Amino acid sequence: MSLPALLQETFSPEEVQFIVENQKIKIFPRITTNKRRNLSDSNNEGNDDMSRWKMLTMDGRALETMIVMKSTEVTLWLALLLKQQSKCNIIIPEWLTVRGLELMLQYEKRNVDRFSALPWDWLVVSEILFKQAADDFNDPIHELRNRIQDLKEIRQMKVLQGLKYLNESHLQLDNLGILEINELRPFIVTVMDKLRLIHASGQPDEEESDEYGEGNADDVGMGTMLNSDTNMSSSSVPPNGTML
Amino acid sequence: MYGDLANKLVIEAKRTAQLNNRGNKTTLPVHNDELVRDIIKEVTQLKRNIEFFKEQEETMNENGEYANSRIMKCQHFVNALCLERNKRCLLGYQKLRSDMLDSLAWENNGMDMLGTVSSEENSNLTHHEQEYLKKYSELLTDMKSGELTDIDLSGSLTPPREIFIDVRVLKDAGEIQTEYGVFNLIKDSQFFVRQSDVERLIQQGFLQKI
Amino acid sequence: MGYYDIDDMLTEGSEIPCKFLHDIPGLGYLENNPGKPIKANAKLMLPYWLAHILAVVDSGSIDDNSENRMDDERSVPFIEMSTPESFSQKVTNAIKTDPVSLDLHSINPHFYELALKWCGLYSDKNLSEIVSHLLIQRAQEINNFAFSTAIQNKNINSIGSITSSNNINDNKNSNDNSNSNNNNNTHLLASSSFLMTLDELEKQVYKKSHESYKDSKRWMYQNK
Repeated sequence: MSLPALLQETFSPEEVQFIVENQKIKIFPRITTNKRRNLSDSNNEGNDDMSRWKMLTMDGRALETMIVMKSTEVTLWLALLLKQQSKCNIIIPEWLTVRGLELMLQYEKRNVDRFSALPWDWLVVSEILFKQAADDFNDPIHELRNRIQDLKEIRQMKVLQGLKYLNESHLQLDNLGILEINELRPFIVTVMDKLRLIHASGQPDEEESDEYGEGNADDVGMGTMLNSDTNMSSSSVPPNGTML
Repeated sequence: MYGDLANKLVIEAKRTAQLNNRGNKTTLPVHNDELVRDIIKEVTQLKRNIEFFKEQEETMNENGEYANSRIMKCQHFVNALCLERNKRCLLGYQKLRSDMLDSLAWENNGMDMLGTVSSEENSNLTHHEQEYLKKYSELLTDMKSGELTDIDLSGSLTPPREIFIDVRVLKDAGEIQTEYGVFNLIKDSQFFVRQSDVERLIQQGFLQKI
Repeated sequence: MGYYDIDDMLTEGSEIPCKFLHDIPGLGYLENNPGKPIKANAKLMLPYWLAHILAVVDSGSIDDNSENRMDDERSVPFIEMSTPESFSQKVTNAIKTDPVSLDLHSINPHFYELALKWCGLYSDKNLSEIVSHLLIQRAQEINNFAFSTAIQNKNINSIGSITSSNNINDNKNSNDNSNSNNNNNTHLLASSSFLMTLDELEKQVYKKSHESYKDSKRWMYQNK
């Protein structure tokens, strides 16, 4: 096939990263591209020409109105590019601080059956920022990395527990990040499909409508939501409707 | 027992599939001509049996002997089932191999197909399979150069990370003309180039991304 | 599944114990007695692809004329299939006691697929419930293994050497040359011996989940 077997089941992490890089992030630009300020001071044209940068892009709205040290929102990949060229500083999102992560960790530890409300792309964004924007962090990176690792491990344990409720019709795990879902997708889809077939073969030609309510009577935040033969989706779908 | 040879063929097909799942490159083992020919011989014999039974039934029907007609049919039936089973196993084996040929064509289409078709490695393929591979690759090239020239369908599947990348030259390749200038490819020299230009060369193995 | 699916063909090759309900001439070769008829009540092991059609197709009663077939209420198939050993009482009890450590591969390498077909044929709700339960339990165990081996050893090659043939003994020797670290070695041995007890479907599940975990780990730890 034109698509290798692994990619037919799920996205590769590189593809996930690509998708995530389309999200918005706040930056402090170090250059000014705002043209409007130019109209009133014509005397300063000579000096300003050196510091006036022009950005050429297709959708130049955000880029052409950048003012130095005033925070703007651009897409992540653009922010990373500017960062490489030393033209901006990236503002670290609030959840990616020691305090923010501590709060999340405590929530995770307190509620054994739920996942904390981390943004859907938390793993990918944190990895990218660690690697490429290390100097923009206020807190020391190794501490942040440790906390991210801890979070990851705790959530992984909870996922393994949650799989006990696997049955042939539905499984719901709220607030999982996209990378976590991506890892689980082939496993869960294959097993649920097989369970569905087994279940269906055991039924004579009666209706199966009573089976769907019974599956997990005792769900504690790990209730039931999706179709067994479509892709998994967490309940926190990103606002611009990216397909998960 | 009828169907045993077919079982052997299917087991071999399964082994081939598993061998392929491990490695990245699709390799096809030798086509098991002998086994296939034996199975075909068995199939012809079964077919003769079936025709015999059919004639027998017709003569019986004409003579008005309906007794035990269903029981007689059992033999006919069993032979027909064995025939179907052999056919299915043969087809499955062939389909597996042709699917692997398809993925071979997709993998190789970034590179030169002509070299690989005529090399000794392809002696694992029968004449028909080689024909199939050639025609399929031609089909692919036609498709790609038809309306879809803008998208490189057999290109790299990992999304690009940066615009410009560092590459090292692995083999001597002379001068390469690109949109932005000419590059002289000498072994072990490094270049900082635009990714879209060099992607082709990386796929063909001339350059290595650092 | 599908007509061309290799696993499907292998599953249908599994043998089922059958009992012939009539005397049938000319099929002696099924019992290694070519040229002789098979007597009624003869018991044989027949492959599934043969047995399941013969068990369903109506043969008509023995002393029946074809004109009177409409009146005949009872349809008598050619053979009668009895529960194969894979679904016997012994096995179901073993499943209920300990699903995870059951050696499914030695019972039948195509356990799940055969169970699917059998339940489909006889609408055996009991069996399907037992099998679903089995799958859920084992799937979690498989997931555990897939996840932990991805962490321990990213270059795991020994898993791929498990073939579907019945040469289980060959694999026991290949464990030793996988790793130098002692901890990894014992873990790999434990996981390899578990993996040998998996049936075909479970192996596929294992491979897929292992691949995806390995990929994410690789992405996490790679340098820019």
